Amino acid sequence: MAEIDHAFALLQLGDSFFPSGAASFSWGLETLRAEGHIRRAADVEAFIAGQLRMRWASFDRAAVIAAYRVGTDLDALAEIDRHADAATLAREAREGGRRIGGALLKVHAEMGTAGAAAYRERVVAGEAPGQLVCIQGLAGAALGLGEVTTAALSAYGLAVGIVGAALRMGVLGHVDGQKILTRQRDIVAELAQAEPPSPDRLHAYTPMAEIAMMRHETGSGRLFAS
Amino acid sequence: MTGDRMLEPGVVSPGGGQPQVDIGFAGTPGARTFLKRQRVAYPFHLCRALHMPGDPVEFCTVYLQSCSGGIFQADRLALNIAAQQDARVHLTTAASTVVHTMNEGHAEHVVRLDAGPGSYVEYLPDPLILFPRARLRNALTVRLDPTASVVLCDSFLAHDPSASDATFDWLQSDTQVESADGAILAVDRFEVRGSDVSSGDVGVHGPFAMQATLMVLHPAAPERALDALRGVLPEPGRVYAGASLLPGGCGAWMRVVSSDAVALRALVRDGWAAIRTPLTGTPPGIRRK
Repeated sequence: MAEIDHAFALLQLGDSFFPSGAASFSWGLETLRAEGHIRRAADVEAFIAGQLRMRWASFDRAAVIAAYRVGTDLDALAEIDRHADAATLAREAREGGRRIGGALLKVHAEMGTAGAAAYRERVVAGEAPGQLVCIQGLAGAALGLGEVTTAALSAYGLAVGIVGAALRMGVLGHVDGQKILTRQRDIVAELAQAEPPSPDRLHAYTPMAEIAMMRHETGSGRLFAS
Repeated sequence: MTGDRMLEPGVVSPGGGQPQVDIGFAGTPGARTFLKRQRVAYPFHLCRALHMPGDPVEFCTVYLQSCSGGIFQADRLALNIAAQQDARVHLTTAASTVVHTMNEGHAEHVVRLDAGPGSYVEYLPDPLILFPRARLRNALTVRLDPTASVVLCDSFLAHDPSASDATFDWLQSDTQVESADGAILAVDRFEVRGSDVSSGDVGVHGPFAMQATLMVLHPAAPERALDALRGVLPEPGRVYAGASLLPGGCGAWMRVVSSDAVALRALVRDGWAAIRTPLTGTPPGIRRK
């Protein structure tokens, strides 16, 4: 892929203008804020870094890369998808991953991205969960973005989603948000050095975020879907 | 593999041999569950089956003890536990399990639990206490009949007897729930270093030093299990806890982090008691330990 073409595709998929629905999720931040664990920009930064280190590196990234590598082998993709779903224990995280994954898959199916329409049939039929991390891998491979770029998109999506949620909660300003995102680049680059675990060994450890998402299920005054 | 590096994902170290604990329970409705098969080797000791006052008549309580004083480097411990049709079992340890300091290598503790049709199993070991430089791979696989119920607890805390702020190296924990035909229903798999716990990162452990997980596998009515767990969740304070439905329609679970070991254990006990009553008809009695 020509460099400018690659850059254009990356900008398109990474843009919040791209209709994925991810902006309505806070991944536990809303409850942590309401319960006093998130008070200032530094807390948001620590939260994002923790999610990258303890979840994205060994779970999201591993599933995205595995999905990227199987390409249009939809049986193999569904297997990765099932592993990702079964290993996401907090209901809002699991259902959120399905919702955003389903929305992203629908857009790609309508755009004609290779494999998306066929995989969507499986998801709609209940034969595959359609977790976001798998759809990101499918789309990245179909569009020829490159494995590393596709993984970076997944990290960026997670980080910017949390920054966006924090902005709307009034915990930080726009410039703080951009500073925080800039500082995640080194963390992501370091984490991306390690070979990811195989899809049947996905692992993550973010107990406070999980607990917050579980508490969010019954919380009142909710702005976000997680 | 070197001492302070975590195992490569999926690597199972050579241990081989027979499991040190291989036990099977058999039951009949209206009659006491009994130990039908037992083969127990060092470092474990199995106390005789007890029938506790206040428990339903079928219930059998067994304490699993360690003669060695905990888990040591290079230990390769394996336990097979089977509850046959209609068996009703409470399996626990006599005390917390200390995972000792390791100068090299690591230890493994691998449990396989088969819950047959109509069986009810509580596997509630006391917490792991991870000493400085402890390295443990802890795995539990449950094979779950759709008519069975299983209550599981898994918890850890770090402790440094020398009070020098040293901490454990790593804990790899892998709890996997499978259907009777081997399909994966739910997986709680994590790898954590002592430094991840002590870092204070909000979203990971924050100010809380210990963690417990209680799973209630009850495919017949997962929402019922969730309601029971939600009923005991405390307001946030020294304990921070949440509960939700597990994937695969297999039940509900509760994750707890805490800065207070007594409060952590009390909440796990409350969760257990809240489940025991709707699933068996009676609350659990006091277990002397």
